[in-house]
Amino acid sequence: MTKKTTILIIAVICLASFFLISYQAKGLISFAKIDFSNLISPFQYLKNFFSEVLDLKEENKKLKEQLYQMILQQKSYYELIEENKRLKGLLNLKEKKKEVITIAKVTRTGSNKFLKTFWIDKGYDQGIKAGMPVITLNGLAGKIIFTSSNFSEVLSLTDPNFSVSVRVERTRVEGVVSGTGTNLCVLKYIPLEEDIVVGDILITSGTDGIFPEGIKVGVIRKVERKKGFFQNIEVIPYQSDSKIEDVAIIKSLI
Amino acid sequence: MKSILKWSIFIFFTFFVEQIFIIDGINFNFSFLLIYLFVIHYFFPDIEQKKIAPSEFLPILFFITIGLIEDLFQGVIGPAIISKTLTGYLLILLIKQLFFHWTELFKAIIICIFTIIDEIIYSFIMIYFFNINIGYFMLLKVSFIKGLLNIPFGLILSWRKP
Repeated sequence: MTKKTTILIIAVICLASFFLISYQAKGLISFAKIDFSNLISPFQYLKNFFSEVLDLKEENKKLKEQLYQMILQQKSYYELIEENKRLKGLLNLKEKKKEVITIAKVTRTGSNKFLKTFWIDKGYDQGIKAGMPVITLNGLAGKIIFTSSNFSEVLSLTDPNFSVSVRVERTRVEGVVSGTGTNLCVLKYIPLEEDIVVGDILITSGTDGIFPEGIKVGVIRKVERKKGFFQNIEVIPYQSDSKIEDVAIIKSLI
Repeated sequence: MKSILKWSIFIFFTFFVEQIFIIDGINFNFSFLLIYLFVIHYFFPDIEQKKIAPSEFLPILFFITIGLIEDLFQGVIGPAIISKTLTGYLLILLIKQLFFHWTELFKAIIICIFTIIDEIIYSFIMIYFFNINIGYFMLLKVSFIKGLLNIPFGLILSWRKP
């Protein structure tokens, strides 16, 4: 094969690939993704099983303590919930329910080249769809970006491509939280004149049409008021990426 | 036939390892090592198999296949086909047109630089077409780390070759 033929073949392949990529980028075509999750899941389960057995005793003790505390708090919460319902009924406010689709276990870290992802052991057979929010007991963890029959890939909250519409709990100011690729997030689009202080709690506002309102997202870590229109705000997520074990997948608003 | 089976198992094992092992959010680029090893074995065969002028068709077909498999794992077909084909062809050009003594240091430099080239081509395609949000400094850093990680594995696998 001559050098010219080789170059011609490479040029044709590159051109065809570019067309294919541009069609995929526009969402006109999509291809199935291969994942080894089914293949490696027995090993992962075995590993998780042993680590769980070791943690079980300690966890049981902690849970018993928590249970007693919960029972003590329960009574007062019931009263508050009832009171809240009555007041909301008076105001004609519809309560948006957070419907849990399923609970899943984190099986492994994602191997996506650019996105910070992790895999969970539930897929579309359990009712999971792309775009659904993923939460933990601590707060928001991410959203589903890919599903197979029994596994799903979750885009982490700290990925730069992740965004969620939030509200500052104290002042009710709305902004957008995005990941940074590190363990921190940033709060965007908060005007300079808004009162934001370190320690303010961020919850989802529900205005993005994906995440239901009221889910805890993070706490303000650092506030900088420099030149420009908006403040530079760092956020510590409630749910650290490295400590996610169990997650709940909830129904998105769309 | 035996050679095809050997390479198929090697490819499967490489991608399996690439998908499973992730260090601090950075995955390996072992698929480039497949290309490097194939080029080394193809253009510097054992003495009894030595060809006078080996064709470039088979290596290019191999690069496309490796790129396609990698793309299938990422869910986007195309970027790795381009990056692997271009990087592989650059490697062929270097091997065919430059005559030098293949020391271990030279092999290490080749593995590192070409892994970085492969990563950068792939990343730029993804950033351009999919507006992936990633800092350029971070991209260079990650590519360099992947290049460094490939060196020991590449050197072990191509020990005393060519």
